[in-house]
Amino acid sequence: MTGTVLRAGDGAPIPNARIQMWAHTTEGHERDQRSHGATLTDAQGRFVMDMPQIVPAFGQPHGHLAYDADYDDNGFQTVFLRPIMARASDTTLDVQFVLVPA
Amino acid sequence: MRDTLIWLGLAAAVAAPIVAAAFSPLLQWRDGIYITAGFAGIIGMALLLVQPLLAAGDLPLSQSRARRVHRVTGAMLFTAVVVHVAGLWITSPPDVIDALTFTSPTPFAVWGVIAMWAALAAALMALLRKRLPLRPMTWRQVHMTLALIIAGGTIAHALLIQGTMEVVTKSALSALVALAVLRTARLIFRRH
Repeated sequence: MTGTVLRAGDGAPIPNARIQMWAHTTEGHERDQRSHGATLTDAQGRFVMDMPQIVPAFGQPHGHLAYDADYDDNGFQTVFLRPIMARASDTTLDVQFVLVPA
Repeated sequence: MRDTLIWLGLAAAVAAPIVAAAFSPLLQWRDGIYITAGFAGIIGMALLLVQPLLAAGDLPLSQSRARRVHRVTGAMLFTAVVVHVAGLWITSPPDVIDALTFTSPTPFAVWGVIAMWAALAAALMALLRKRLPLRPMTWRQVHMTLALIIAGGTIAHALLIQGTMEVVTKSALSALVALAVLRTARLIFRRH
């Protein structure tokens, strides 16, 4: 799972944004504790996280990501994303967050 | 001989998608309740092939026998719908709430929910048959209209899903269900 977190308006990268992710993978259901993870963006607003292969569940191979505004004082709104993989055989998923001031 | 071939053909058409799904690689990453929910959906869809054939008298059964079997199959079909939705609810309540409130981001959920409500209506009609103030022909036409909605909704639902159903047997069952239900609808709406 890779992605970027940018600021709405000027597209400036947002470092140290906490991105949570969860998915149905070869290791278990979305709700399972081990299917949950979180990471921080680097100075360029990028994040990377290795995870088990996502497999189709509830009809589509998809992931869930969230930026939870309660985890920092940057003043952005919380965002939930649910990207779908083009093919179930894909082994990467790239996701763009654009955060809007609260 | 002819009767045997009809029954064998029907058994193969119903069993093929269920057996093919039993070999899905996705099963190894799902728990028992989710797997049960999925197979209830597949079995329910397979029963959609049997219902119009029974209603049209296409199977080698006496008319009264066919009616009785149609009722029993209808009860099984509705049970399959309940197990399907309940199993998905236990597996992931938010996904099912989104589907039932027509707010799911998935394109297939809406078709499944439409078919579910139509199935409930068709089942209630069957239970209240004697008490409904409908002439038999009108009752049949309304029930048939609901059956068309159930079949159309279920086919769209299944074809749009990437799930445990194998693509060839899923497409074949969809085509057979569509043919059977359209043929029976033609009989019922022409008879008027």
